[in-house]
Amino acid sequence: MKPREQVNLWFNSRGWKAFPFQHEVWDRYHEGYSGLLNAPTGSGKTFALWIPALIESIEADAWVSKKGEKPRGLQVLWITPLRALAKDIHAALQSSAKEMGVHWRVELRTGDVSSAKKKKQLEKLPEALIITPESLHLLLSYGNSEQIFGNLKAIIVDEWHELFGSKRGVLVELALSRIKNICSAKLQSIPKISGQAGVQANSAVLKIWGISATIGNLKQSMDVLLGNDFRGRKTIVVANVKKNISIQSVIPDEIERFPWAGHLGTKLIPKILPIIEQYRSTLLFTNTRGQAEIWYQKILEAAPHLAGIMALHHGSLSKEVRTWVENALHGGKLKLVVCTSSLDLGVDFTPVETVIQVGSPKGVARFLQRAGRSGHQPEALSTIYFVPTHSLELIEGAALKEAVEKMVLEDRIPYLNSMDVLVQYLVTLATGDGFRKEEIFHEVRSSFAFHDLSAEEWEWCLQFITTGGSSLDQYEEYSKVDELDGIFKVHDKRIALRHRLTIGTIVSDLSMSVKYLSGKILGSIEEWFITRLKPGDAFWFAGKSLELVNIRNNIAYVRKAKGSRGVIPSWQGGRMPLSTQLSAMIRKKIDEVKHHKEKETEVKVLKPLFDLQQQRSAIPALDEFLIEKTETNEGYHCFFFPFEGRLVHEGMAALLAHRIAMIRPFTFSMAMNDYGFELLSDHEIPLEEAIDDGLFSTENLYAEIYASVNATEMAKKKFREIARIAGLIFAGFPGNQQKERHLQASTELIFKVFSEYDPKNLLLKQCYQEVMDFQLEEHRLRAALLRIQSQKILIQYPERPTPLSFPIIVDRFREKLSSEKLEEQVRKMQLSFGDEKNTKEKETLRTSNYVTVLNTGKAKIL
Amino acid sequence: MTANAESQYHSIEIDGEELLLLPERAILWKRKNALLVSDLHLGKSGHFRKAGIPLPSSIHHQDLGRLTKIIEERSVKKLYLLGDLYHSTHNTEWNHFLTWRKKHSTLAIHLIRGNHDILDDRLIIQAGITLHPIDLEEPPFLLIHKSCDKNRSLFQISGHLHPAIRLSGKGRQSATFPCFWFRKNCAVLPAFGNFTGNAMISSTDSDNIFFIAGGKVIAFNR
Repeated sequence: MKPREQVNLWFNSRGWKAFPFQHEVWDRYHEGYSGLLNAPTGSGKTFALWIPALIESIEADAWVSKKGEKPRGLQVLWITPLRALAKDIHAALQSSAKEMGVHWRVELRTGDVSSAKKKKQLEKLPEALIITPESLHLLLSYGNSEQIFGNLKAIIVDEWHELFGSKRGVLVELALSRIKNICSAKLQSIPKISGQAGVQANSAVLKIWGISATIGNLKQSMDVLLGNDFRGRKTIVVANVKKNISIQSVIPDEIERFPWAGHLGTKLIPKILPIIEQYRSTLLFTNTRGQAEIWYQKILEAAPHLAGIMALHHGSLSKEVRTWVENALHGGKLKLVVCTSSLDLGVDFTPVETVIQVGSPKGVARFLQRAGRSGHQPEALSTIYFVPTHSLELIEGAALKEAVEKMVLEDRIPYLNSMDVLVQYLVTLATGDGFRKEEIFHEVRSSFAFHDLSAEEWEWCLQFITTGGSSLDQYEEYSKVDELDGIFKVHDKRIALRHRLTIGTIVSDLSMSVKYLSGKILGSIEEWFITRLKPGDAFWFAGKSLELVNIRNNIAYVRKAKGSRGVIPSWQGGRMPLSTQLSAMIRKKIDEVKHHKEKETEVKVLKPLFDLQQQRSAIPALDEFLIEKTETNEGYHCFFFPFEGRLVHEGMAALLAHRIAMIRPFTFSMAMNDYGFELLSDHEIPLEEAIDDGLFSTENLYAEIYASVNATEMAKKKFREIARIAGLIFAGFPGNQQKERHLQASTELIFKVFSEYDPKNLLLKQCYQEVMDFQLEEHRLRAALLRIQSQKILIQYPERPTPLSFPIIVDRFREKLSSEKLEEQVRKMQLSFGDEKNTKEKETLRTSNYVTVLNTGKAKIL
Repeated sequence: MTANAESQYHSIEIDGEELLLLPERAILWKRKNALLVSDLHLGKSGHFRKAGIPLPSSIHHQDLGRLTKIIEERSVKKLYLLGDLYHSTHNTEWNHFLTWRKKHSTLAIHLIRGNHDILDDRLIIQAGITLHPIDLEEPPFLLIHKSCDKNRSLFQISGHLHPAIRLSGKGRQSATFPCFWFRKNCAVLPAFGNFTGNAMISSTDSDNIFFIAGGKVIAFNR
């Protein structure tokens, strides 16, 4: 029987039929292609790439076959980003191989596998190994790589879109650069068999395949995976598995003309409860962990009968809690799970029938990914409900609909020249087999991430790991990697041990464990939040009201609080900016309003809001850039509306403030949201003059951004991750932290030392570059300025705040007020801004002035 | 307690003795021409280098340079080190210290052992340093490494904590400053070494804090 028939029989036995895309991948694989399979989760993508590897093995059974024969070594390496996914994949690969009569050992090698088992694995290699990028690097650090990887026929990188565009992706690129070279060297050493050359070559050649969900730059993601030196045949296979997605926005009964972020959502709970009732199981996504806590609590208040069948899931909860929730969800025991991006990825939750997204998902791809968490079988309908947190956000519902329909998805931006990862990788190789300089330089440059690594940068890396730095007398007794007979190797066992513990690029937050007095761990919370609480204070965490008992050894001990009280913790970071694609779509929707061409209900219901906007100011068309200039008791305001996302606005606000202050010295306060930003001053802002002087110019942009933002402060924060990846920080051996106490230093201190004594250190340079690229999104800022230059500038002089400027004003207050006070304040502001004549206005504005003074007053001790 | 307008230091009187709080992170005991310094953590960068973390030794040269400057400018006769002179076990950076010591051979040096001072006692004694394993009574003061002991009657001066305060200002900006921390019966010095961390202190209203910013010692007003 031909292998293909064997496979078809197996499919039939399960009542399945192979999809066209699966056949296509099988054919291409058989022809020796590498490439990328673009397929959504739950589409049968695993078998698309596992089956051809098995077929290859059956075909070659002349020399590899029955149980107990000579080991053929590692054939397939399956790289997955998540340990949780690894288990599922392991089960699927193992059972299918067995049922098709292929006697392969399929094994896991992740952080969850015991070291005894890992050791055994190396003694007798399995035919297929499922591994995470971190474990793969760890494997490289044990040496013997030629023997381990030399027989590989295929490397499959699952969920490549999750790794691509992150430093974990760089880890994969580097590991592949090594393995590819090992395999091609091995291939050249095997004599070709005449006559059968073609077949032999295809099956002997290493094939690399990525599996990816849809992203904007699929082609690039394939090129990055395969590397710059890839000479073989490559292709992209697209699975046309139709995922039917239905997007429905939850529309509030009354449209506020003065929207403000964050508060509307929970008011819509009465409209959301029927949705939850309607389906077997629902995932409700919020954008932050703090919001998830609030929603969990509010839903429970509104629908107490959900107690016991609803759960909370976010990244700060303990692994134990999360695993419990995942298992219960998997088993269909939960009606509702309130979660964050922590459930974006992961195992198949078949019982989930619908998804609710609270607030802007900020990007189209993320929204689609979440939508895909429901109806997790091929051809099932995915329903996703969009719940706006303020009325203006409804426009994003419309923007998402069009973007999904047209499949306008975000690009993932691959990392370039990440010296921290390179330094770590070189020490990893030196810890393992050791390396030769020319060979590895060539390999590293064959990866996309380091394709323009210069010889000088390379030499710097070698120096950094061997002598520590350029002046030898300053770095005496440095010990890490030694060069002996042209081989770079780690000889010190303690250095090797320490290095293995720091492999990887995932850097966790500075956080503190939250533990019951009885010892049960609930999760972790950021230090800055918990240290502001006093013993006896209550806070909400893990959906429970907890009372802080004390803090000892970096652990916050708690007990259940009496009654239902407490503050909601917030976690810093994780505030994603609006993506370029979604921003552009929002501008398009606003343009449609301007030209009375609105299509979606979401936009139509916003009529009262847009009418007021038009009446007081203007609605910007696609070729217009709106600026509003207003004077209030607070001072002189300028509102700009680029609709480019918070990060770009932050940079642009600082840049414009800097440029205006070049005309005359000025002090500004700034505020921003995803749609626009505000400059506020106590003097009239010479806006028109500044525009004439090139306010939106891109000339000298890089230097002026540096001059306008506190780049050093930003870099200092960013350096934490880089220092950790480059091995400058060592947290100690597990359970043996005391001994390494003398090696502890904060990253800020190391940042300071490098800045003062080694300013040319490439890790510092990388750090500032990352601030520019990822924090300030310099490329987007530049593109936005270019766009504004081509637009007609529309300056309006509204007498009062407008629906567009109002949320920005509120955001400014948000920084300073507790939520109750804020709510009160906003209510008053809405009243006073709404009616043309309102006697309360003066009083309100006076209150707001008072607040400003209070919070910009004297330095106070924290 | 008087603030000195022209100078950068701050003068303070305790039990009849005048102490000058210097912006170089040291205290000058006027009557005795003695300098009180804590937590130098010399040899720390070398210790890191041995573990594969490349930090230059110039960090410590700068610390010793700063010490030299005060000793020369203020004609210091006696140096009290309140612990953690050396960060860890012996490394070549000890030789730099010995070279420095030879240049200041007339200076009397007393070291109260800190938790980091695990260097062989003989090496310390060979360097002409009088080692005090626990504390040293120099009435009206008790010099000690770790924080206050309430049962002692003498005013205690210690190190160990590396005290600092964080001040916040406009626009969510904040900065950290090392400080002298004076409490009812004791005082804590900031760490003298540059390559040392800080610990944010939580003070009460009765405490006096003098922080160092821009080369000046400034009394902190609540």
